[in-house]
Amino acid sequence: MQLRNRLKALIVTVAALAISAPAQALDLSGETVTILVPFSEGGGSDTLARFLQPFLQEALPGHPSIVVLNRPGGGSVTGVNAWIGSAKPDGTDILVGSSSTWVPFVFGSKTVKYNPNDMRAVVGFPRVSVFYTNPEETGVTGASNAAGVEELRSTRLMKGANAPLSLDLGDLIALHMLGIPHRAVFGLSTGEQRRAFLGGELSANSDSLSAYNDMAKNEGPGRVSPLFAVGGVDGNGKAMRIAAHPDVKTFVELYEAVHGTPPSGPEYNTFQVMHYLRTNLAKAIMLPPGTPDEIVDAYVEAFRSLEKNPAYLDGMKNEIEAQSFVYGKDVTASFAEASGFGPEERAAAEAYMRETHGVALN
Amino acid sequence: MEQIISSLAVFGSGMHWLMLAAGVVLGLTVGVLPGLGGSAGLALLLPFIYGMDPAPALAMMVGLLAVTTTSDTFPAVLMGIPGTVGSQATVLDGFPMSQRGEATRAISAALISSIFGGIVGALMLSVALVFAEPLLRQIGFPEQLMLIVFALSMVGMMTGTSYLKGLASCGLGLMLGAFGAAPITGVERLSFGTEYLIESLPIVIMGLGLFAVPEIVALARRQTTISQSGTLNAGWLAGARDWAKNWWLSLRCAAIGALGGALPGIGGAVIDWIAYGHAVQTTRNPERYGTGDVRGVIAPESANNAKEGGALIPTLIFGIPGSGNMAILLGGFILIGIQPGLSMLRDNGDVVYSVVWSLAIANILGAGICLLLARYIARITTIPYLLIAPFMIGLIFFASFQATRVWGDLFALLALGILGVYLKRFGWSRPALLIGFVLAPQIEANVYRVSTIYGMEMFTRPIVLVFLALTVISIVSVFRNRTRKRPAEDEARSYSNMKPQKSFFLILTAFAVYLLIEGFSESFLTGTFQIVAAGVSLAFLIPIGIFLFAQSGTRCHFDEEGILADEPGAHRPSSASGEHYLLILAGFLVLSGFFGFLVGTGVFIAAFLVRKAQVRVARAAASGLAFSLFLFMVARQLNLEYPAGLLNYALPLWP
Repeated sequence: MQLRNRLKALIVTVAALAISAPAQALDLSGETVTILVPFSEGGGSDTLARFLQPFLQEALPGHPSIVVLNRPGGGSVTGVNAWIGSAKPDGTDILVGSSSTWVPFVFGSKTVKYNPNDMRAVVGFPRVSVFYTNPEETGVTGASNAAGVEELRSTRLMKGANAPLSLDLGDLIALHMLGIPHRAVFGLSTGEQRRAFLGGELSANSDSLSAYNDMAKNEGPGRVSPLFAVGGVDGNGKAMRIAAHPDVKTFVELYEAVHGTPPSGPEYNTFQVMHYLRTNLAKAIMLPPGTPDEIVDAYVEAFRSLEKNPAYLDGMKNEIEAQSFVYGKDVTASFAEASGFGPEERAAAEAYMRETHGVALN
Repeated sequence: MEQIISSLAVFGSGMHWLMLAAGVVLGLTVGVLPGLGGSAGLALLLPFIYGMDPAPALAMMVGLLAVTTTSDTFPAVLMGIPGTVGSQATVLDGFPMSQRGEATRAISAALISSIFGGIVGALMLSVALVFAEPLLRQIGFPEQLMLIVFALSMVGMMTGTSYLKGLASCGLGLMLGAFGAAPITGVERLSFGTEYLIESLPIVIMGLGLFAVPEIVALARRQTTISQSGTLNAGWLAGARDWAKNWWLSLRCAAIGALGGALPGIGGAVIDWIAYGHAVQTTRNPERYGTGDVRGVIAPESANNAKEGGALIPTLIFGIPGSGNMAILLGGFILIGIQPGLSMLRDNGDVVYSVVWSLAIANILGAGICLLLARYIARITTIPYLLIAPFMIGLIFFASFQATRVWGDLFALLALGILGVYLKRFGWSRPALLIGFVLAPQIEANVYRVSTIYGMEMFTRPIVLVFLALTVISIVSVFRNRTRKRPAEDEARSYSNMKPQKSFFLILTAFAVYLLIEGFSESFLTGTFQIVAAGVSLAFLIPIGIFLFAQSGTRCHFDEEGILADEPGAHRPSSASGEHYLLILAGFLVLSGFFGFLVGTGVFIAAFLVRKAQVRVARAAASGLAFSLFLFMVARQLNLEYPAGLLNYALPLWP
C-alpha cells in the first residue's frame, strides 16, 4: 500500500516535471555565459562573438551577462581542446567554432582532442565566396561557362593557398578537375592572396562575397572575372548559386557543362568536404557535448528570435557576411557530410599535390 | 584638399574630443601594462562601439591605437621591460640612461620623438591616401624579399664586439624562428609533441626573456637602485634639447617607420630595429650605442609612432590590414558601418581624413599626458631595486601570459630568460638574435614565393634594385665602421676559468647540429629552412669554436663573471649568483603551480620582500595582496582566466 502510494506520488511528480519542464528548461538569470573564442582579439571569430554579445543577452532566457573569453594558440586547437575538457553542459559555456577548428579534425591531426560531431550545434552562419580570375593576365573574359574553361586550358593560373593541407585544397582540386593548368603558391593568408592578386602576381583568387563585390566594383570586369560560385549547400547536398550573382555557375554546374557528366570520385568528395567546411560550417555556435536537448532548444529558439531584429540581420549580412542561418540538427548534418575525408580521398589529394605541385601533403 | 578641411569640422563638437580623449586614456593605460597592446584595448572598445555614430567611434578607436606605443616607453626605459614589440629597441639605450639617473631625460626625448613621429606618420598618411595606391600595387613578393634582406643587413650594426658571435646570434634567432608550424606547408615543425609549440614562439616573450629577465637578474644582484646614483639627474628639458639636436635623425627614422608600416610583409617588429640600425650606421661614434646614448632612444621611438600612420595606408586603401592592430581596427570600421577600401576613399573622404586628424591629435594628447606624468613615474628608478624586483617579476610573467594565455607562456619566459641571461653573460648579441628571429618566417616564405613566381626575373623590377642598392650601402657601412678603432675596454682579454663560456658554446652548437639533422627528416618545403638556418649558424659557430678552444684572448672570448671575479674592487662577495635568481624565477612558477597564478604571484611577492628585502611580514603580505588584487581587477576588466594551480583544482572556490 505504502509502496503504491509512493509510486503514485512519483508518477505525479514526474508528470508535473514533464509538463513544466519546457517552460523553465533554461533560466540564466543572474548567470554569466562565457563565449569562448579560440583566437586572440580581432579577427572573424572574435568579431562575431563581440557582435553577438548584446543580442544574446537580450534574447537568452533570464538575460544573463555575456562575456567573451579569448584563448588563442595552435590555430584554435589549443583553446577548443581546453574548452572540451572544462565547459559545463548547462548552457553557460558556448564556443565560436570556425573552419580553422574543424579542418584539423577532418584531416586527422593528432593534436585535436575534440570531435565536432559530439558537440551540440546551435546555429551556423554560412558564408559564400566567388572564385575569379584576372583577364588581364589570362586573356579570357566571361569564363563561367564551357567555352571560358576551354580557353583557360591554354593558360596557366597562379593561385595562392594557405597550405597544401588546408581549405584552399577545395579550390585547387576544382581547377584540377576542370583541367585548367595551374600552379599554387603556398603559405599565403587570405589578405596576402588578395594583395598579390591586386598586384598581378596571382592570376586567380577566391574571396568572400563582400570582398569579391568590392574588388569587382573597383577593378572592373577587365581585371576581375568570376569562374564559379561557392554558395552554400542545401539540405539535399546540392550546391547553390549565390543570389546576388545568378549568372555565375556553381562548380558542379560548370563541371557538368565542361564534361557532360556530374562530378564524382574521391577528388570530388574532397571538394565537397572543403565546400561544407567553407560555407555551411564557416562559423558556428556550439554547446559542449552532453548538453541536454532542452538547453540546445532554448539556444536555438533564442537565435531564431533574433531573426526578427533588423539590427542583428543587418550586422550579420554586412559584417559577419552570413548569408543565411542554419540551426541545430541541420548544422550537425553538415558536420556528418564534412567528415568524409577518408583514406581514399587523402590518397587522391596526395597524388594531386605530388604530381601537380611537387609537394607532399604534410 | 577640400575634404581635408571639411573633415576638420567634426572636431567642432565636444563629443568628438571627449571620445578621442577617452580613447587616448584607455590606450595609454593598456600600453603601459606590459604585454597588453592596441588589440587588447580595441577589443575592450568594440562592444561599446556598436551602434555609435561613426565619427566619434572612429576617433575613439584611432585615439586608442595611436598612443599604445607612446606609453609603452615607461616600462621599457624605466625598468628595461619591453612590454610591447614596439619598445624592444628602445630598451637598448633607454634603460642604461635610467641607470645613469637620466630616466626623465630619456623619457622626455622618447615622448617628443613619439609626438613628432606620430605627426609625420599622419602627414604621410594624408599624402599617401591621394597617390600611393598605384605605388603600393608595385610592391610584390620580390620587393618584400629585398626589404627583408635589407633589414637583415642591419644585423651587421648590432653584432657587439665579436662579428662572428653577432652573426652566429642572428643564426640562433633564425633557428628559434623555425619553431612552430612551417609557414609554407602549415606542417607542425619542432613541436616535440607539445601543443604550445604548434605556433611559433611569441615575440613578446622573446623580448621579455632576452632583455627584461637578464636586467632583472643583474639589478637584483647589484642590490642598489636602478639609477646607480640613486637620484634623477637630468630633467625633461634636457630630453627636449636632445631631440632638437637630433631632429634630422628623428625625421629620417619617422619616415622609415611610416614607410615600413605601409609596406607589406616586413611586420612592425622589425621596423624599430631598422631605425635603430640606421641611427648606428649614420653616426661617427657607433660604439656609444647600447650604453645609454639618447639617439638610441630617439630613433626607434620616432619610428614606432610613425608606423601606425603608415600601417593605416594599406588598411584604408585596400581594406587589407597592415598589422595586427589594423586587423582589429578594420573589424571596428565594419561594426560602425564603414567598409574600408577604394570605395570608401571615394565616397567617404571626410571620414577618412577625420581618421588622419584624430591620429595627429591623439599623438600630441597622449605624449602630452605622459610628459606631465614622466617626472613622477621616473622616481621609480630611485627606489631600492630589491623592493621592486618581485613586482617586476610578477609583471613580466603577466605580460608573457598575454601572448597565448596558457601555462606554456610562463615556461617559455623562464626558458628564454635563462637563455637571455647567458647570452648577456657570454657576450652574444641579443638584438641580432631578435632580428633573426623576427625575420625568419618572412625569409622562409618570401624566398619560396619569389622563386616559385619569378626566379631571377625579380632583378628586373626597379624597386627591387633600389632596395638592393640600399642593402649594399648598408653592408659597406658596416665594413667602414669596422675599421674604426674600438675603445680600450672592448679589447679582448683572457679568463682564468674558461669552462662556462665553452660549455655554453657547446650547447648552442649541439642545438644547431640537432636542427640540421632533424631537418632532413621533414619534407623539402617543411625542412629546408631549418637546415639552412642551422647550416648558416654552424658556419659562424665553427670558427668561433676554433678561436675559443685553440687560442686565448681573442674577441670571441667573453664572460661578464670573469670580469667581475678578475678585477680587484669589482668583486662583490655579498651578491648572489645569477643562477640563484634564475632559481627564484623558477620558484615563481612553483608557487603559481600550487596556488594558481593569481594568488601565487602575491605569495611570491610577499615571500621575496621578506626574504630578500627584509621587509616586515605584515607590509610584505599587504604588498602581495595588493598586487594580486590588481591582477584580479585587470582580469575582470579584460576577462582573462589566469593559469590554474593545484589549489584551483582541489578547491572549487579558490580564486
